[in-house]
Amino acid sequence: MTKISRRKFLQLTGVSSLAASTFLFGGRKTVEAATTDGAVPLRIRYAKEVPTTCPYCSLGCGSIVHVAGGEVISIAGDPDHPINEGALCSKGASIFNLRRVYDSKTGKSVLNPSRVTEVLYRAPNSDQWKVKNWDWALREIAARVKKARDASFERLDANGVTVNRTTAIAHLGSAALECEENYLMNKLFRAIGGINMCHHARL
Amino acid sequence: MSGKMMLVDVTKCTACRGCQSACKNWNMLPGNETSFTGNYENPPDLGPSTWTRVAFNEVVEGTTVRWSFAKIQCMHCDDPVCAAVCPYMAISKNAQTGAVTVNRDVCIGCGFCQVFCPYEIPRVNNQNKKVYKCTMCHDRVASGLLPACVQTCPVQALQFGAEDQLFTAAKQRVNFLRRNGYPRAQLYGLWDGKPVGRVIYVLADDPDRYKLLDDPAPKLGSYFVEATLKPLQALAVAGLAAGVFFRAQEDRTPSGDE
Amino acid sequence: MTNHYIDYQHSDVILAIGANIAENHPVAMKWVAKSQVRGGKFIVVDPRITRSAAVADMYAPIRPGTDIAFLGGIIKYALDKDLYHSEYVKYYTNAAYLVNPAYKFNEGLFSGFDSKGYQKDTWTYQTDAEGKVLMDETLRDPNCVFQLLKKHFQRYDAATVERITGCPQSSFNKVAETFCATGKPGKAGNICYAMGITQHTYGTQNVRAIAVLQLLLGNLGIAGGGVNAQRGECNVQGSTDMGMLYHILPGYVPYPEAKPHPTLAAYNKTTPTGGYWTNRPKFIASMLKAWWPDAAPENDFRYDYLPKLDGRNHSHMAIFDEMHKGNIKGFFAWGQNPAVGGPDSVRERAALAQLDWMVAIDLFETETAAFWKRPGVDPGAIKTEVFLLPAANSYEKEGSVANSGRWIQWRYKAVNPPGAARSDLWIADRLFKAVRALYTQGGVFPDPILKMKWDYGDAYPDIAKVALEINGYDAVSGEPLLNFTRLADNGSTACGNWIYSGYYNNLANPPTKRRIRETSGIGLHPNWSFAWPLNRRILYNRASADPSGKPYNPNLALVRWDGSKWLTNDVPDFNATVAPEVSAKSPFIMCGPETQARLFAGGLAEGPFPEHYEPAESPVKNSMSAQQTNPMLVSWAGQTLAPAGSDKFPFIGTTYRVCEHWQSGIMTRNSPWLNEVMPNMFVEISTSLARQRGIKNGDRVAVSTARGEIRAIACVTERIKPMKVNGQLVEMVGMPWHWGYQGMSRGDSANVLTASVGDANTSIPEYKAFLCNIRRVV
Repeated sequence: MTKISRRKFLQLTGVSSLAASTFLFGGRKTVEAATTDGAVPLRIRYAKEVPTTCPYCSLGCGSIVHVAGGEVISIAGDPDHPINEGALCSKGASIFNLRRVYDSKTGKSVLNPSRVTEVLYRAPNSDQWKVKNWDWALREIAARVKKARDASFERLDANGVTVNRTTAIAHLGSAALECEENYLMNKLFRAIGGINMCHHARL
Repeated sequence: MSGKMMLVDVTKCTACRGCQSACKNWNMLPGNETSFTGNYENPPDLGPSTWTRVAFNEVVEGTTVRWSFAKIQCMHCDDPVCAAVCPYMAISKNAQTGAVTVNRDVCIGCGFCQVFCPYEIPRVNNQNKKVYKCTMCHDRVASGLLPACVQTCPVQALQFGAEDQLFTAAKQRVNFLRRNGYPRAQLYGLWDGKPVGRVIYVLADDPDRYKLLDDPAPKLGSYFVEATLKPLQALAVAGLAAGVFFRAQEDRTPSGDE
Repeated sequence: MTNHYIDYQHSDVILAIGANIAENHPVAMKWVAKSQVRGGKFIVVDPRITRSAAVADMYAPIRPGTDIAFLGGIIKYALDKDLYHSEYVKYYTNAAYLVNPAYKFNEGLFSGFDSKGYQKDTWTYQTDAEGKVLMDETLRDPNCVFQLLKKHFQRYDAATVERITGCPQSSFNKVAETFCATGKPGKAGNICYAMGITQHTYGTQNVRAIAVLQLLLGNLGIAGGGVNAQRGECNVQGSTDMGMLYHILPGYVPYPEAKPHPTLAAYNKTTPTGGYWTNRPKFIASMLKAWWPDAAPENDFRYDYLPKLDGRNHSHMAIFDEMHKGNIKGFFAWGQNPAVGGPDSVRERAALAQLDWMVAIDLFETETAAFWKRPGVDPGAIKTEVFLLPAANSYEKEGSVANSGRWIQWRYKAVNPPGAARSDLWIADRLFKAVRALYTQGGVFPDPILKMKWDYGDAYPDIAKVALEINGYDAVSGEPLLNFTRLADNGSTACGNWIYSGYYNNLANPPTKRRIRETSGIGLHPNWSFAWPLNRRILYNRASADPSGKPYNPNLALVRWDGSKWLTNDVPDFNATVAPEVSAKSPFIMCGPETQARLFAGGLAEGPFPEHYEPAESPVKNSMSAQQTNPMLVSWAGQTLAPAGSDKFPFIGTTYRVCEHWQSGIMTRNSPWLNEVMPNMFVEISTSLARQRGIKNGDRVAVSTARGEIRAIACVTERIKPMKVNGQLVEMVGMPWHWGYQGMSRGDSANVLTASVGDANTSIPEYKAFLCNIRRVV
């Protein structure tokens, strides 16, 4: 393999530029172009900036969600955040996909087709989901909670100690949910007398 | 030319691939279907919607196994071959940012740039017959922001800043590495000791250890031959010539990546 | 985490054991790299060369499940070569405490073992007539903790370490020498760990080994040091803080159990007699007051409304065992996907079919939600009713999350959730109200439900009200409490979670929402968010200064006695109103009653010192003792395990994560960008195992265990090497556990292979070491 020196490389390039441009367009004055790839106003320029914390690992990296027209247009690391200083890993830099994806055919931003956006119900032995509304679902779930609780509720244990509990219902919570959400879920589950409670911390 | 440039210090890279995601996010690019073929590296090649990627390299040296990573993207040459060969002058170098970018209003997707680029960077989208590649996020850079990949890099394997400062820092880093167990440490992306474009690399070893093209010269050689033919080809109606070239290059565009 | 991620920059040596920082906490590498730039050394101890090992200054391979042997070897190294921090050990730990002379250790077992387990009455200190612990400050008494520790770890010499772990002595010695150099006063060594340490049948003792080593080297309570648990989820710290486990109430207040705690008075009798936990009665009274506003001394603070534990295990594996038996009727899978994430997942998936009903709440259709239509089953044969409720993602709602460094950071809502999706706060609020509405019409003992404070508004629940309740308020005026020092046990204060008190102590500018970076200092950023407790950034910071109050490292001083008062960079973790000689005796205020750190810890299930046992499934016999496995490990009937040295399953299996996917994968496998970079389930094997089994890189393979079999793509790599263990070459099959049968990217789940056996103290499953076989398939 012959090494080509920088000087020669530049020479070659220069010659070709001249040849091509002279031939086709009668000479090129500048290397700047009128419109180029992405030479549009910064697309987040007028977007609203909303700070968020990455939903993945436990570093607590800060991100900025850019919102325009009520929709997310970009999510990137928050340069002002002391932990990540703008940096994000592949997962953190992909949280746009938790809501939006770019369609591989049209290139357009669309809702992630895997997101569940309806209340779904699967009846016993059925092979499919049925779309339901919240009121129906909350009522039906509450009725099942009450039935399971009341049928199993222990006021006193074998030693006569007040225990007010049920072991017929279990709750597996999530380490991805907010503190305040966890707190309410805890109150909800303890209020009905639940003791079968666990979450990701034990996995 | 002076101005801003990017430094890729592969010795710091942990291959988290935040750069790959951040590039897609900023440039609004879809994900492509790939498959695991026995190596973490994916996608296997650049494409019209993959403008940067990290190559993974497992090297055995005696009893030591080195796993090293190198991000690959456009070098944003200061005298870009891709621009020179483009029959429609669709590719240009931005004077303000130094980025080499494609004007897709003009591009016909002939693929000359893809053939002649010594680093094999530009890629034609077979559907819309347009060329795509890294823009150095010049819209961000023009607004004083860092390129998306640089901003997202946790370990400063990617840095962006004034050319003279980064070039000096890169040389110092190479010297440091040479003194500390990497005698083959070197800079990459130079011609005659100067940066060929807006991107230089710090390597701990020879370029082929990072799947970087060891010597882009052969490409330039072929370019030289082709360049003399080019006016004729251009004459013979760009569309026809483009079609021929385009088909010749089709197998280089990974299926699904369009 | 005792410290926090930014603090890694100050470490002179970072030892990652059971943690793969570059892949699972990638941005933390920013701070590791900063330490390296300063000349710090980054050591990775891992069964394979990971992306962390790729940039490490030192790498030592160990066999999965042998961390105690490795760490025990370093402990011995520090003791033998006098590299430990003698002043720190003497003043700040229980090294001088005299232990009950009846305490013994023999052949892998501690004193007090019988068929029912351990009687721990010999794992205690000697006391005088008044109950005061006897000490020997010369540390020479053969029954003092220090001498017992020395004796215990004397058996972990480098040759033994190599024999058990497979780590060559030369590599081990290099690691030990480098890390023990941080025992010098003023030097900082940081041990970070994650699931590689905890997911074992002796995970707690793995952590204990880390703690013992860090205490010996004086690395706790100092900047750049610490025992740093890199936790796996964005709010696993916060959700644990909120008590989402059967055995704790919010703020790590132990959960009451019927037999020992029939009444609040009985419960309060078990309050620790020393350290800050002496305030526990205030914490529980205030919590009960926050939950049931009519709580008062007269009605025992409605203590009877709290369901009481029955003395049995109610952890994840126990719940699924009960479910399998048909004892559980209804199940909430609230943001969790056990069909992929739980151990022995074939069995867990089958257990779901025993339920009457299940409610899954998630962003995507998880494997758990869709268990009734999983490959190979007939939906018509599954009776379970399933509700799948659509949830909001992290930027479609607001609230706080606590990172591993205990920083409680607020995240904001950017957009509305799509379609019918709602925040979990809204779902919890509406569900509670729906249940309450039914009980207003009667039901079994409805009082705890009807009287529960639940006043977050009629429309969207007002999160500020929830946060204020967690923070605590004056029960009369309703004014927010400044912090937990204001809590009372007489019903005058309400506080949902005492350790969060102070995070939302005013509505206008709550500390959790603060976003002010420090402009000088050592990276504590005290005005950025709020760190529990009391905005303290580095726990046990009294130990960063010597007994007279002089910082061991003046450049990274956290607290300093200037001769008349304490100067503080961080919120002091001790009584800073008294002279240093007083606090020098109580540098670990949460570690009561000793208030000195425990090298010897009598409260654990399987012994006061860490001891090496083999995983529940192991290719070799335990070469330390006749006790093959942890005698106190938890397992459930019906669990199939392969015997030690099994011919059928000769290889070690281990599971882990990759940078590009997260946990059960349901969030990341629905990301086209992430699927592009990491598209399929794969398993990693050495080139020698590949040759032995005729497997080529990229081949399809089947991996099997006594529980099940999966298919995957082979990744044949030089980064995994067979290990020489007790003279025998041992091969390993490593694999990520992110895949399942739902989502955009599908594949077999590694947890089909893992067993329902777990840690003796925490019941965390042993995902990290099991026995398997591998073969090529077409």
